[in-house]
Order: sequence, then structure tokens, then C-alpha cells
Amino acid sequence: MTATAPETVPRHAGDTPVVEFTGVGKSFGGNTVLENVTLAVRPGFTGLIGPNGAGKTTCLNVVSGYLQPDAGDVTLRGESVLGLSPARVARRGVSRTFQTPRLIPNLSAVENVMVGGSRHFRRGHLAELLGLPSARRDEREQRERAYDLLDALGLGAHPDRPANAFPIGSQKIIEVARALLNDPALLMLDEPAAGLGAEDVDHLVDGLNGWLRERPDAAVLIIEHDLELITRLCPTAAVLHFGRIIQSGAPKDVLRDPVVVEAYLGADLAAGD
Amino acid sequence: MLQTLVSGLESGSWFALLGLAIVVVMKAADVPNFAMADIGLVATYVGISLAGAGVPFWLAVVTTLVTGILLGVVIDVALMRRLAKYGHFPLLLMTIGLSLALTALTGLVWGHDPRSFRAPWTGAAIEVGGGVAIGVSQIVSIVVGLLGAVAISAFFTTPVGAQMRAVAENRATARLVGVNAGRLSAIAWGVGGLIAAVTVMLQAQSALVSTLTPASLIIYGFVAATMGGFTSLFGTFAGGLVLGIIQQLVGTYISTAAQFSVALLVVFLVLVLRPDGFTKGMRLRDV
Repeated sequence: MTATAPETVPRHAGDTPVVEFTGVGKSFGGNTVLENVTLAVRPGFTGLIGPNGAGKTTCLNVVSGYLQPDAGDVTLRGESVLGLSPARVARRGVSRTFQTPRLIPNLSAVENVMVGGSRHFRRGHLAELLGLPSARRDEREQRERAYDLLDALGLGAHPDRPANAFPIGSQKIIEVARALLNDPALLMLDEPAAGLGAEDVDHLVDGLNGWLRERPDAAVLIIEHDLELITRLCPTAAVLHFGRIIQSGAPKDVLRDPVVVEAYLGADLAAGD
Repeated sequence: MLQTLVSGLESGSWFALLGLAIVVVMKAADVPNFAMADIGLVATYVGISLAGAGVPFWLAVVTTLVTGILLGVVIDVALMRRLAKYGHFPLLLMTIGLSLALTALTGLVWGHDPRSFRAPWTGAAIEVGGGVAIGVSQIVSIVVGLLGAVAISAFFTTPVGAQMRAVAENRATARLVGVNAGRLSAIAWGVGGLIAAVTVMLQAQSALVSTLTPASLIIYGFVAATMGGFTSLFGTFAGGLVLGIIQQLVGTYISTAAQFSVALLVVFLVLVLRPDGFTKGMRLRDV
């Protein structure tokens, strides 16, 4: 028996979108960051790429409840998440990591991971306070899962050291473990490979693949500048440019598209290539 | 001398427990709670009234504890949460106002005469030789204080405890990763109310309490919390015990009139010499 009771999800062919953006718009002051973004994220890996400032992180913020869009809708398995607080969105099964790791510095790595397990606590707070046996068992399982996740993602030694004692790359791995402890239906990774060595990236990829094998109906949305990693992991990728989706499809094709090349490299370089 | 030490440890346990209650709320809700001792007093008076009406002792004890928890939770949900968006200062003022209001209310309902909460062991003592006797209620206070400190420390290492510390350190991040900050702050206030109820109840079983009790108890609690830098549970607990012993020594060898000033002097010294608390830097796990 697991401690988790994720909402039962109809297991259609892997094609039902986990998350859908429909005509999403967002501007700050007069500055339009997202414009009519429509995107379906299906189970498995999906890449979200684009030049700096294209609005990629804003997309994640809109899903996770951190920002509310000005237009359009965002649905998680058919239900709108608009108007929900970040905590509620997380409890519905959306987990994420951040471009700059956001860990609690004085908590140990493993405790930071445990903080992510909010989905398991829907009914457990009181039981835990009273020290009921069921709560103790859950707690032990949580802790073991936290250690296991850190291990599977390749954090290596010293999971009990405070989070701020780890280099940025390791902090990113701790964040991924924290996100996975929530057993998300949608995992959003904001530049997970930035600051990681090649070996760390391999560990991370193995860990993510392993997790996804156990959760075939879960989706992973990755923002990444490392296009090789995107090509390696994601069957589909969408390109965001000035707040609009300009292309989506298999990464190899997408990256060859002249419009995308121009967006990425600028017209001059593209012409010279 | 032994008598003085035991008395010091006894009142030190009360200070330590109240300090822990303050730190628990401070950690999760980020408010220094000046009404903590009053919450304990109201809960204790409820228990005393029940016991006086013939309710069995242990039922009265449980009711006292539950009242403490409920008071804490209600104050958080009904008052603190509404003010939270205006920042820390209004919250702080609210706890001071609450303290005054609860004291006044207690006086209105129960009067200002000192009362005691008679336990089956009240008045009993154990001879330890040399003509020295230690009160059973003193031992109860010290043991409960220790158990409370251990239980609270253990609680903060659980996943919920980790979430609570996460909320305290960085509310925004904790919420972004899905922590229900509101529920955790209600839990912290409930736990705080529980500890405060235990504290005042222990005091009422050993000595007398009145509407004057919270005013001094809260200062001692804050001195203990200051010694722990408002973060370290161990520092707070040890600080409370040390303060109790200092206070008894001052009372025995100098003057009981000097006890309060010495406590304030201790805060002054701690703040000047070790503003982060006197266990900071000992590489103990901070909460």
C-alpha cells in the first residue's frame, strides 16, 4: 500500500492532454508577455524552448497559480486551474522547479524534499499531530521516498546536509526530487540542466525516465536552453517567441524550421548559416 | 541549595515551555505572541472551574488542554489571519491587545483572587535526606517540561514540521511548492495554545495563579525565547531552565524583589552579547 492516493485518472490512450493552454494572454503594464498561447501538453516529455524573454517561465507561472492570465484558460485534465492559489494547484498535482533554485536554506536536503509532499497531507495533519500509527507509517514512507528520490536523481552523498551547503547544480536536483515527491500529474522543470555537469545531467535524465515509466499518464514540461537535451528527451517541443507559439512538433523538425532559426539566432546569422 | 536548584528547575520548566510556545508560533506564523500566557490562564481557569464543580481531575486536565488548543486556533483563524496582509506590526499589536483583553475578561469572569488547580499530588513531597523535601508537583513540572521539549523537537523533524519550518523561513516559496500555509499556522497556534495551557496549569498545580500571572510569565517566556534567538528549541529550553535557576538564586541570596530586574538584565545581556541566541554557532539544529 502506498501513502499516496492520487486522484483516479481515466487512462485514455496517452493522448489526452494533461494540461491545455487555450488562448492564454498575459501582459505586465503595457508589455505583452504571452499572446494567444494555445498548447496541449500530453503525457511524456514536452519541451518548451525559445530565446530569453520569450515568456517561457511566465507559462509555468500561469499554470502553477503564481500568475493569473489576462485572457484564455488553463486546464489540468479538463478542469480550469485559474483562480486557484499555488498551494491548491500543487495539491491538484502540479509540481515545478525554478530557474534559480528555491530551497529553504536551513533545512536539510531531505527535509526540503519532504516539504514537497503536500499532496499526501490532505487528511494527515491531525493524525500526524496525534502521532497516530498510520501517520507515523506515512511519515516513515515519506522520508524513505525522499531519500530514494535524491538517490535516484544522483544527488550522491550527504542528503542530511543543509540545502545551502550544496552547489547550484545539486540544489536543482533537490528541487526535482521535491517536485517528484508530490507525485505530480504535471511536472514543470525550468532549465533543469543549467549548471549541471554532463554526468549530473545523465543521472537526472535516468531518474526522470525511471519515474515516468512508473507514471505513464504523467506529463513533464521542460524549459531548457540545452537543445540537445530537448532533442534527446522530448518527442515534441513548442517554440515560444515574443509570447507567441511560433512552431511545435518533433524537436529535430522544429529546430530546422527557418522561422525558429531566425528567432533563435537572428536573421543575419540564419542567412549566413 | 538543592531546594533552590529544584525550585529553579521547576519555574525554569514553566519559562522554557512558554518560551517554546512562543517560538512555535513565531516559527510558523512569524508573530511574537504576547497573549500566550493569557491563553494558558484562560484555559487553566476553565479547568479549575470544572474541577471545582466536581468534574474528575483528569477530565478537567483534558478540557484545559483542549481549551488551550481551541483558543489558539480561533485566535489565528478569526483575528490574526485577517490582519496578516497588513504586515507584522499590526499582528504584534493585536497580540498585545489580546493579552490585555484576555486578562480583563478573566478578571471579570473569575475575579482577581489567586487560585490553584489541585492535583492528586498537590502538597505531596519526597524526602531526599538532609531534611530536604522535593514537591511531587515540582518533579511533575520538570518531567513534563522535558517531555514537552522532546516532543516539540521531534515534531519539527516530521514532514509537517519540515513544512512548518519552510513556511517560517520562506512563506512564498513554501506556498509555491504546495504547502498549505494557513493550515500550518493554525496548527502552530493550536500547539502554542496547548503548551501555554500546560504551562499555566502546571504552575497552578504547584502554586497559585491569578490575573497577574501572565504579565510576568510572558516576560520570562520571552527571555527564554530570546536566549534561543527565537529559533532554537534547544536554546529556548535551556534558556528557560537557566533563567529559572538564576531567578531562584537571586530570590534566595539577594532578594525576591530583584528577580524580575535580573530577568530583564539577562535579556539585555543576551541581546548585546549574543543577539542570535546563546546556542547560535554551536552547530545545533535550529528550527
